[in-house]
Amino acid sequence: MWSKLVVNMDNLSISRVALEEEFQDLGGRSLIAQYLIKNVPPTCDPLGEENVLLFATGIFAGTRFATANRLSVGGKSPLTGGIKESNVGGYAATLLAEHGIKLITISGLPKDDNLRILYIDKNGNANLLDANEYKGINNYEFVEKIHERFGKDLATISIGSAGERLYKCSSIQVSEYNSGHPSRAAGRGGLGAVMGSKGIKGIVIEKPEEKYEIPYKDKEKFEEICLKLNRMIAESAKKDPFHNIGTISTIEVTAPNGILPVANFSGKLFKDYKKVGANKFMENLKTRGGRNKIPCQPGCIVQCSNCYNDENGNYLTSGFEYETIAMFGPNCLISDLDAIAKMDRICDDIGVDTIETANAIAMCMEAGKINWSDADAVLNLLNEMAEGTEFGRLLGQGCEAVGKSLGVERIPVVKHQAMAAYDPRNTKGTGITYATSPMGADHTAGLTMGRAFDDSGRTAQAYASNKLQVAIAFADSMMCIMTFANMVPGVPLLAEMMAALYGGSSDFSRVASIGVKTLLTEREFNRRAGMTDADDRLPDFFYKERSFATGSKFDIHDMELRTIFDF
Amino acid sequence: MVRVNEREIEYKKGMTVADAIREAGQSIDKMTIVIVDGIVLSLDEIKSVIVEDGAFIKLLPLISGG
Repeated sequence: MWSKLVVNMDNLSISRVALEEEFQDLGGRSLIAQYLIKNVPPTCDPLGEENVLLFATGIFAGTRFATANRLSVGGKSPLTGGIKESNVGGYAATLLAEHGIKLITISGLPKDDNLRILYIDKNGNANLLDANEYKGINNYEFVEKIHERFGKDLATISIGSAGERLYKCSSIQVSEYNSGHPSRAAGRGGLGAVMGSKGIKGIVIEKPEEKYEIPYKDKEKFEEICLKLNRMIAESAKKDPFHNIGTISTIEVTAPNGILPVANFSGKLFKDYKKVGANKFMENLKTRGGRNKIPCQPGCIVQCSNCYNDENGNYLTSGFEYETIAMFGPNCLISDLDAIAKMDRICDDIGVDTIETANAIAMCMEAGKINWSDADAVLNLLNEMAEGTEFGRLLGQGCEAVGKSLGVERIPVVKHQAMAAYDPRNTKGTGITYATSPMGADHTAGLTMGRAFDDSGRTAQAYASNKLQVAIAFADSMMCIMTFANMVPGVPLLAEMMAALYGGSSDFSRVASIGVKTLLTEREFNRRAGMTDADDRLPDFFYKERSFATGSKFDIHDMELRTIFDF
Repeated sequence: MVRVNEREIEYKKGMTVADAIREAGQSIDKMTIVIVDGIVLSLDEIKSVIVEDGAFIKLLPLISGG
């Protein structure tokens, strides 16, 4: 049976128990939703003792299914005030699954100011170790010191100084497979602050001496379906731009179509987008010894990650993605890819969400605190966040807090969370997802770009958003969504795979209902936390200001937003 | 000879990337990333960029967001 590691910071106790029967065949986002609604009061203080920080592996964790070992991090978000599941690649979930751990729960608050590491050794024993020597250091240095102390045959989950300072935009960083770089981020929603509030600097997981044996109902059947799906994914991935180039290729589609945010979602086009586009990225990789096609976790076939070196050929950052490039780049009118890579590195290091942080920086530009295009000024502000100056701490509270403090009217947030790199006027289904997702403005919750009849029209946008939000809710429980995109024709096989693993029905309704139930549970958590229909709306300026590229406004009626989850 | 994904077509002097794609019977839309000999071209550029003999044109549909 899968187990649960229960960590109580009130009395610093740890116990390992069997995961409840009702959760055995859940994983990832679905497990987080069901656990939170039953165990966390929705009105609790996200940084208080009643909140629980969760780490969950996926439904197919430990199997050979491609990207089965995704890690979901959950809790009540200090940024949105609602439920949060933020999922991340890296090596940690693989090792947790090999230990037979499906869920870690961290509850309570320590009675002292000490920092601790949750250490899971090669025999599966878990202990809280003193981590005061790591106080104030950032993620790259933390991982280096952990490697020096314990060796490299392990995975890390950690927070930087931002999480320790309880920044609402703080991330939880997970080490990448092979390189060990802490460059994979559970970025959204400020869960790094929840980890900081519990006094946990990091979780270190040693590779187990003996692997947990997964109790398949029908292993032969499972392997047969799994192989079929993996082959389908591998074949499709050959033509996936994310495999061939990386997620930066998205800019080649968003920029010419007015979907790329420019100058704080001004609706303008960015003529210099190629300076931060795929060709420049690939040229820099080639000439500086960088790499693409890197799997961030074992068994990934899509391999969309990368390693980006500086102009001297030295490692600068990895997992350098479209969202970061678009939001620090065109949305701040910056066209210097190397400067953006430095920003990415700082964000990963101090442990902040690049989307939230870049939007907060755009607020500073909109207010005239710094100039548009001024990459040096941005780097200075990020250093202020690292140093914890007064303004740095304000930036750490996210886009909305900064915008309001500086008197900005055009603040691109939903449920207090900043938008990702898709202008909702020109991918309106994505706008509906931003508005209605229980996660806040989150593109990964249901990006409809290219999937509706006309991205800037109104037809069927709610339909596309609804279907995708359901699909992503179950995909987030099982795999990486980049993999999911490559196996859509094989989706019915997921139910057969669940049946071969856990027993029970092999009907696709089993999988679909995981998606629906997850969404409805998340929305119920938010309702109990005090959210209303008014929280399912985009900021006014998207309804009033037209996109220069298409002339489109966000003209989706409130009724469509209100009824999107009337299943 | 010009290759468009798995398909090979006859090279014609002066043909544009868009001509070659059409000749190969391939369709593209705004979600398609067009790569010619390793260089990404915009959908505007493919109408004017002339293909060289032996060129390899990759058409990669963007299927998710970054």
